[in-house]
Amino acid sequence: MNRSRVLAAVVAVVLVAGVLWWVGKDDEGSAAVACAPSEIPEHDDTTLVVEGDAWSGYAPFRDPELLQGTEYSLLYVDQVCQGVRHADLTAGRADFAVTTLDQYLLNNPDGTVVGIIDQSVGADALVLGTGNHDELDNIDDIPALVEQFASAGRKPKLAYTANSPSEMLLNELANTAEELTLADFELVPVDQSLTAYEMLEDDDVQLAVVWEPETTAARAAGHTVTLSSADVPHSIVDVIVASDRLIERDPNAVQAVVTAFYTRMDQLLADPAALQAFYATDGQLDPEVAQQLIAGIKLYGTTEAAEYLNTEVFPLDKALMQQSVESIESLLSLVHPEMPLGQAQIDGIYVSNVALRTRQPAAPPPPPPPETPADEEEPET
Amino acid sequence: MLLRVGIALTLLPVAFFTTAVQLGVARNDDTLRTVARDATEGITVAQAIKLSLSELDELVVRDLLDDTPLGANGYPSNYDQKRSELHDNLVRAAVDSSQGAAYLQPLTNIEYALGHYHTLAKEAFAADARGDHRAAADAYQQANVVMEATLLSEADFIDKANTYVLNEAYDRQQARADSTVGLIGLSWVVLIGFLVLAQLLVARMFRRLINPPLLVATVIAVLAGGFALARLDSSAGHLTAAREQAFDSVQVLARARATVVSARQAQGHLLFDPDRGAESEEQYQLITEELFRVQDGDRAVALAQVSQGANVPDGAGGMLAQAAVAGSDRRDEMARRTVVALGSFLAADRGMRQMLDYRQPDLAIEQYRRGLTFSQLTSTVEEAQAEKQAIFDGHARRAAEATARLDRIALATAAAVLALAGLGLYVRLREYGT
Repeated sequence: MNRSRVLAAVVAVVLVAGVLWWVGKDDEGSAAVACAPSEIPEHDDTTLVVEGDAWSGYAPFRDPELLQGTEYSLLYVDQVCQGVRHADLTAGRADFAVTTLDQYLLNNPDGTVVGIIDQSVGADALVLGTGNHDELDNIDDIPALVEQFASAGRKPKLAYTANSPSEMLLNELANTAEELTLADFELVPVDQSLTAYEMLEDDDVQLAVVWEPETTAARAAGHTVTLSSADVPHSIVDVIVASDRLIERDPNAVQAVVTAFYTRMDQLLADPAALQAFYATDGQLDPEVAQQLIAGIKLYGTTEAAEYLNTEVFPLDKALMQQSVESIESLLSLVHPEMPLGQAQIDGIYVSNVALRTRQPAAPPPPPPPETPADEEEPET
Repeated sequence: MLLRVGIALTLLPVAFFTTAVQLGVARNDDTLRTVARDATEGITVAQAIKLSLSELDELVVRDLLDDTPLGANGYPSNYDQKRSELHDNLVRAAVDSSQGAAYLQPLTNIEYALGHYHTLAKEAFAADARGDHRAAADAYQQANVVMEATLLSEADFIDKANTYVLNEAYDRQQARADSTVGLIGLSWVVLIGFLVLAQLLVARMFRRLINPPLLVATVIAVLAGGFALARLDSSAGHLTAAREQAFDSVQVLARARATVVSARQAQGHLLFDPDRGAESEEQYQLITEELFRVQDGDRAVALAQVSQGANVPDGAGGMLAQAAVAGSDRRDEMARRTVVALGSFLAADRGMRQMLDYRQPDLAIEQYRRGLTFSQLTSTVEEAQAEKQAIFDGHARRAAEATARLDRIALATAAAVLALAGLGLYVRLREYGT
């Protein structure tokens, strides 16, 4: 064959393949955020590492004295990146992760859900920028806003925190409320709720999805909190995830943490003033702001947590935690088709043990959790 | 040598152009398949399930009010008929829906909870048949909770999943539309540029003004590129019209249709179980506000004004208001009529409640049984839905027709251009050889 023709054909194939690759590649590009590795100080074997972020619901874990009176101590490590948090759990660098259920399902770590911390019932919300647009003070005003921008050949902007429960809330709301159609907006993913709120304040966006304390701040600034997590119950659930390594190595440590957490929550829930002061101190908030924050979260004590994880609820005859997992997993599978399904591990035995002790204070200690080595002692709680 | 390279290199722009058109057509067809067929059918099936569920619940309370005779299996025959219809819709959803947890999980949950619903409904019928009104009302109340809290919300989830897929596919198409058109445009320009360049070079080398095969190839390329871009643009335009002007109304009216039945169920529940009147009243208000609400002023007044020809007021919300002002066309007469029909339904409801206040429950039940305004409202919603669906289907059909056989045309064009360009250059090559 003529050499020049072969050469031309090869050039053609290479060029066409290159163009195809360029055209076919993902248009959205990589949204990966560079995450710093967790800064975990040196610690001994009895120190349990909990990774989480600044969310108020995780406040009890930030108290270094939570495990006082047990043979363990607690080390809380701030890690805002959910991916790193869950990778640390799988790698054994962290013993526990406190996280939202959707992120647990999405990141699929080698860990088991052993408790529920709280559920957002209004703390996460879609806010309308009434402060800059007087006429925008009701969800029914959204079509008019869209129309107004469309007449200028634009779309109103909506800011939300990417790769966070805000993103999931936005998807949930958009598919639940007729008034909110995402195609009507220019979506602006940001790094955190505060950024979304600041953009709303500066009128860089007309709507924003935020979480506390920005939800309260937005309300105080004259913006309108419209749809919220209260409209889509069981969609933003914070959970305690124990590493499977720890469960296998030292289930008493898991029991110690679960017991200490729910004991603390029971005490706080029984004393509203102490509860308010606790979250105000943790978040360095005014008491009124702390009160509003608490109003937007459903906190769980021992009894309710045990029921959430273990009690089958009519008419689906499954525990609420299982129902939440299935519902969130179904929704996530739409956004992330590659996500493995049916991988969630839930173990309600630890919180059941706490509930049993709460109900029968004089009774002897319950049997240890499964796989407890015979020579280990029950943790002091 | 140069001519041989030219013949070989002709492959390059032709392949580039053909690939670009094929890619554009493939992307367009993929979006059309998802938006105009799979997801919309999924949403239709989801709404059919929700409607059947709502109708089943409304039927139970109506049968309880009417003391409808029970069959050997403990259910009235119309209940069996409705149950069968619901089952068919569930099977249709399971067969037609895409595979995945988002679709299968809610279907599984509906199948499971439906068993509990049937059992409770049967208990209600049995208690009513033996004259134990209290037990019948309590059993029906439980059945209604299963319906409202679980069955209807699971049906909504199927709708939600399909809506998500539809929006995703449409948004992706919108985001890629510019790059697709740009790529085809670029490949078109490159192809024409190559043919013109070849013509110029041949003219310069052989002192002939025009090479006829190359000229024909150029003309074909110009026409084919323009045709492909125009067809893709037309298809995208119809898809946009289908999605943004018609589909939202189709979907919201389908939701409204099921919601209207839920409103009637709440009326029946009030009549059958006056002891839970406050709950039924609250439920009724919530449901009807989902259909239509106003921000300022009285809803009844706003509805009366609409019935006298006024536009749906600014800031009005709810499914029917949304359908009426969809596409910013406040003169959408068909959708506006649904708002008027709702006004009549709500007015009749107020009359029915007054009869209850005047302690004339039999008259109220009689009015409920007749259900004239309910029938008018449902038929009006159905007509509006059919009208919007026809608009959607028309746009979807034209979008599909616009790109039908475009891929084959592009291939034929490529073959023709390649053959003609090759011929044009080959003839010169032979001349050069002799």
